Amino acid sequence: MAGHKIKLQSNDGDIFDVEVEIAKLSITIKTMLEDLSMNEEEIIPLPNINSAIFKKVIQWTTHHKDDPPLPPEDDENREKNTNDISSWDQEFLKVDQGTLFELILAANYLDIKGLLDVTCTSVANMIKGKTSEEIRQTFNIKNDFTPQEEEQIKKENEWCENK
Amino acid sequence: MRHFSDFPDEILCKIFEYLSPFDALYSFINLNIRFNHLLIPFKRYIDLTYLSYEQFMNYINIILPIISQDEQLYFMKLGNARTPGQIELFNRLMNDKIYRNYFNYIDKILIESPRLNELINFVEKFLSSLSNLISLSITIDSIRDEDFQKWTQLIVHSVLSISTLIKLSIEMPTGLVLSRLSNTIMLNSLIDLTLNVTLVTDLLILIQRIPNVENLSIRIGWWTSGDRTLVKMLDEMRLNNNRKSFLNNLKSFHLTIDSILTFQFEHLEQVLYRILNSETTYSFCFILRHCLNHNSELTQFIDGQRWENLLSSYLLLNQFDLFIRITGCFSIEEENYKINSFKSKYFLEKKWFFSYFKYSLRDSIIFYSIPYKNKELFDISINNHEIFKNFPINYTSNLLIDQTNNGSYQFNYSTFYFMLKHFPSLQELRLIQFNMNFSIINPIHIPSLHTLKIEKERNVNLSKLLELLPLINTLFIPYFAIDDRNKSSDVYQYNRISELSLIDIPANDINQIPLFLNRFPNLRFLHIHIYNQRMTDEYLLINLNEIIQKFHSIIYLKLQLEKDVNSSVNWKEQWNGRVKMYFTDIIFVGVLVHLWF
Repeated sequence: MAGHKIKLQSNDGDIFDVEVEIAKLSITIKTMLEDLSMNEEEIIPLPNINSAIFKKVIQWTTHHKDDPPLPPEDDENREKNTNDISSWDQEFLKVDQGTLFELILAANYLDIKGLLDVTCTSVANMIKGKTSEEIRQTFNIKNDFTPQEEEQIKKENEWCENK
Repeated sequence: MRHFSDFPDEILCKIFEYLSPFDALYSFINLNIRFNHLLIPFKRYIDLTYLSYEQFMNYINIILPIISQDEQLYFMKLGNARTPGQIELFNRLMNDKIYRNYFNYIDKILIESPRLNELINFVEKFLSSLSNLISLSITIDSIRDEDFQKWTQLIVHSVLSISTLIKLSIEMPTGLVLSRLSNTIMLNSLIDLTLNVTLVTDLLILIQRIPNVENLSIRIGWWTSGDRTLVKMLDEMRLNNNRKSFLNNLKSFHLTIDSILTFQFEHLEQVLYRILNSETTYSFCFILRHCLNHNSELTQFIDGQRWENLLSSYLLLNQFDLFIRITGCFSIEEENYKINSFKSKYFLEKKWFFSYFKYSLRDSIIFYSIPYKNKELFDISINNHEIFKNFPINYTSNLLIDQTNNGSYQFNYSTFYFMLKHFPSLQELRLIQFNMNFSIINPIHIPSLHTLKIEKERNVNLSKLLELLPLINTLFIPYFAIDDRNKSSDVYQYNRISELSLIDIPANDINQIPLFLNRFPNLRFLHIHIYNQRMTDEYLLINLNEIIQKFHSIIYLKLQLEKDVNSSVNWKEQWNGRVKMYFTDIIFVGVLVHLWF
């Protein structure tokens, strides 16, 4: 029923009234409502998402509520996929790295494929074309090789580059 | 969560799915132990056909040596289609033992668009020395008549005879002639085979050499029932082993016939008796691509009773796909009779259903099983609204709407929308003289649709068109037909388009192209067709220089020219060495120059 709402609670205690049709874009919530026969008056807890991130998720799902279903994944489609992100989504994703990462975790937990697609694409676009060293700096990735392994890698890289 | 490394492995793998194997390896290899482990699947295969020259060399020189320390490369795809010269370069590198050793464990190869000498070298110097090769796929684009014998010799003697192959697929524009295939050659290892042959007699020769094949897909260039050799071969087979299949393990058979000169259904039956196996075959697909119904003999194809008689003895058969396109059709009475013959108890019990689409263009009919999911082009032509009443749902990937003879019929948004919604699996849409002059209400989202080809069209509003079909990333369009080609690129940006073919560029407009291309910031593959007959080479090169220097995202440029440029032009030396590999093809209407950056 259009306009019908359910209550969803973030892990910091805030309660959100969300239209059922929008909430159901999350397969996790849809499953809770349909398979577990949860009462619509019950508050559904979302223990993995804080209110700031959940607000962003609601903003995204509200904008995309009328999107057509995504295509089935097969090799051919995958090859032809581009890394284009719509201008609305680009604006939406103008957030700091931490928020973007939290959005990926939320999309994965809530099972919202469209949001997971666009956030992962955004991170993939940040990665493309960067060397390992640039990635190490961009994402602050620690090196856990032993000094001996490190030395070996350096030697190999030198050898390869001189070839 | 503040750091990328804080993601669980599951999410990191998810993010890697949005990167190509090359990008994932280039950015994450040797970052730390955890990432090296996560990259293991990416180390085992590589698709080289979308890489720039620099990326290709980086993979060979930097990434492969690292991979080879703890993993092996098992699968490789390479080709010339969008990376011209790649196969030649690969062959050259394989002369060096150090490079060659990185490929020792390869068991699966896909090779696209090789030229004859390149494939000869590739097979002789590389393929034949791979001891683990079990799967090979070759796609050949063009074969010059004078080279046909050499191609046949190469494939028959050097490729078919690779004794480790289990799966082999060779797609080529002209079918193989197997009449000289030695009686002693047996292709015992092959389980899965896809091949083009010239005549049905070549198919009859082939099936006697592939005793262990389970999945067979054959495309025949011509079917000629009047061929005496065919009749003689069938008579001999009839005497030897009536109705016995040569293929003891055959599970599925896919037969495509390009065209027919003369036809007797009985001959088709005789051939199929030697192929379909009543104890093992569960799937059969028959495609007649396009045929003129000269003396009504093709109506035999649309006779359910005949198909029923043929197939009913194959009790395991649970899948039967049919696609028949015939021009020069039947009377309405005959048509109804034929279609109804596919509604017998046999077909209904098998749950095999059929539909047909009849259209005015050249008086053609497409008769097909539903749901139809093969890749064969589905071409239609619309001349009145009535046709939409019984418009069938179709799962084909490839649709052509050709309105050449229906100029007076005008699509509107709702008819176009209605029709496309009936093709939910569409990947490529081709429009000829479509007259797309209607208002857009909402974008049409067919998620799988990525390629749009516009032909013989005038006054196309490109921005409206891409607003209507926003998921397109590959566009083929005549330049002169673009109504809004001179509009500012500040207003229109088509970020999604990565592959663009601009054809019919008049000589006077060549200097406008760089400005126009500003609208495509993510272009990787560009094909431009220029009328350069009255243009000096110098002027052409100056304008190309602007494109090549300005658009660094482009890794492949295909130039289609009316006349070749001066032979003294060295493409590699032009433009500060930006072109790394190139080759040219002489074609009927000029020359094609392929440049890889």
